[in-house]
Amino acid sequence: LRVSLTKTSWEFLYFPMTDQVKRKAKRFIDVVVNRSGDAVAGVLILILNFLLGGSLAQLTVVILGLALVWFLLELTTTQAYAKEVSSSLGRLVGDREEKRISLQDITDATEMTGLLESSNQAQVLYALDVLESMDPEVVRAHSSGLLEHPSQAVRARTLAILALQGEDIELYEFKAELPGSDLSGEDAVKVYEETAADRVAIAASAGRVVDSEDQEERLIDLMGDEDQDVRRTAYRSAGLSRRRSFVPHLVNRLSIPEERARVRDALVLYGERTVGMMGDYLQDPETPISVKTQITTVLVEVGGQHAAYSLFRATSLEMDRRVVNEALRALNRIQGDNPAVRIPRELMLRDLRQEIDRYCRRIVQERSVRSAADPNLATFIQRVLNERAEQSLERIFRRVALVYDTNQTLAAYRGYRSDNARLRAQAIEYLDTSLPSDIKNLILPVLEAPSEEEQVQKASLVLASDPPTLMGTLEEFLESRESWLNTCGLYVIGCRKFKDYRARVETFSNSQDPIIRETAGWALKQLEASEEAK
Amino acid sequence: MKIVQTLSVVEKAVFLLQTDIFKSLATDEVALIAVKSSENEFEAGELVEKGSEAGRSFHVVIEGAVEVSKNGTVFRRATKGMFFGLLPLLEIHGDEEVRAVEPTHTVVLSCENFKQAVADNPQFALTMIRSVATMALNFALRVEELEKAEAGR
Repeated sequence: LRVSLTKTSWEFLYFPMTDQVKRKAKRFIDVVVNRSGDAVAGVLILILNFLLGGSLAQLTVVILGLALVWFLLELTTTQAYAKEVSSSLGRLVGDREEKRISLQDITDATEMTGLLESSNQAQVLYALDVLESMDPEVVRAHSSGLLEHPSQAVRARTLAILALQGEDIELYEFKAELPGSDLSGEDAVKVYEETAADRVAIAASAGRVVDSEDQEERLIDLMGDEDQDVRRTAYRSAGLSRRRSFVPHLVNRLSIPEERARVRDALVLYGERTVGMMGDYLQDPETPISVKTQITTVLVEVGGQHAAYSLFRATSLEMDRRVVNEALRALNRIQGDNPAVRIPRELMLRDLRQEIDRYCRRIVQERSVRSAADPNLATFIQRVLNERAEQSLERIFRRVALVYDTNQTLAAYRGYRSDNARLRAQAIEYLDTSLPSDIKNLILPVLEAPSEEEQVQKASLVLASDPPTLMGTLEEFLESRESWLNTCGLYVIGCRKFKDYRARVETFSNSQDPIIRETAGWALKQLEASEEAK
Repeated sequence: MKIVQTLSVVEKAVFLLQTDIFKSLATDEVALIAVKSSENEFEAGELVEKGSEAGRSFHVVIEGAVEVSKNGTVFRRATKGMFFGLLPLLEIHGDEEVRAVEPTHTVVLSCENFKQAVADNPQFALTMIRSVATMALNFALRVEELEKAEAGR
């Protein structure tokens, strides 16, 4: 065994090395390590014989003990090595955390405070905007003067900032302070509602007590007010009230780009109370993708185990790819901030295996499409498949990051995607030392393949089913749950005039998705034109 | 100007993906932009946009060419795959006029849809910033070139 197996295995270990390194390593191992090992073993046997008598049983116990120490040492070394590879990657790839520049870094607070005294409305509003994020205390200190400013926009903005800082805005007290406000009761409320400042005050007071349907409807109306200060105060009031009935209205407003940040802040105020609902919105096919993206950001802000479960539900392979991408990114951020958050390991490893299969499938499909007759069409479909493969690869790493060390795995992903051969090698080394052997055996040969040809070959071996053909790829596009792949399938049928697919195309003609519907109509026209030409 | 519909959404997306400003976006993202776009046709010599009266639309030339001029001086020519109309969309108005110099066919994105695309897609916003920066750099280089030529005269 020693000669036939052990010696041969040792020789194999030297294969990846260059001749120069191999010579040095062999010399050192043969002369120093092996001889020292023999000497230490001899000394140990002598000590054993001298102290205990050296029976076979005693020798076996000592060997077993040493084997155990060896095994633990190997385990610790592997973990330490993986950590070192990853931290080295982290250093080389660099920290991709966004470096935010605060307004404080670039603005002078004194200058802004001076602008608050200006009679020019635009200048005061600008100063208020800057000070709100920079030093809201300054706004609070100047609030009495600002609330009597002749511009109602300035009064509204001041009130909104005070309300957003959690200040109690007492509607009726405020009314009494308004110049010339000698009205009372219903009359006063009517006059109040005429200006944005007053509506801000109403929206702010609604945050404290919403105890009737009328008040609830009033606040919902204010969320759609024409004035931005009124709207944002109303959002916050809704968030502070933590009433579930406001959530659909808030989620609806996430579709408006200018409102998103304020609405997200309001939803975060609900905390864990609505994370289940947020998860349902992520699952709902009727929710627009742009809104789902915002919801993932809200869940990251809320954080914690329940938010992670809501996001995890959206990472299933059956979900829309864009939602899965966002949900995985969000989960990685939550785990990066709080490593105590756990994801069901077995479920994630199951999804990971399927994701690897999908990645390999896209690689093989991309190659099969190259044989398409129309080069422009082939280029377009190849690009679609390449994008899908790239995204699938990112999801593989992000799924791995949910089970293993988040930051180290994401550093490995950035290393693998870089053009630097050393970083790529280190990334593969990290996966090699971290992943369980069944997953490692699936993905590593594909990632390590030195050429595109070899990568396609390795990917074909991973596939659970037969490698996809050109027509098989078309079928898969048409069957996909992803609307864009359906569209591309219809486009291929239209371009290539595949008349056998007419019935299939017709089934897409009434799709809810405008792009699918339009492309199906276009493809049918192409098929009709081709038949007429014949 | 004629509003026409000669291309399907995917055909528009395939065309846009070949242009410099859209090539870095994902195919489905470009399709989402294409679905909100329309097509215009202009005859040779037809005025496309003029100064502050500009139609506030973003055009990408599919076929033909337009020239952007100010006080009779042409300072930019946009041909197949190139865009025009970006600056008025960013509310930077000059007195320039845009005129088709040959029969021209464009993909058009309204101001509202352009802004929506920028808000929804940071990559698109980045590409636009790059385009404006490239335009500014080209203008600066051209001015420098003309100044050198003037000095050498």
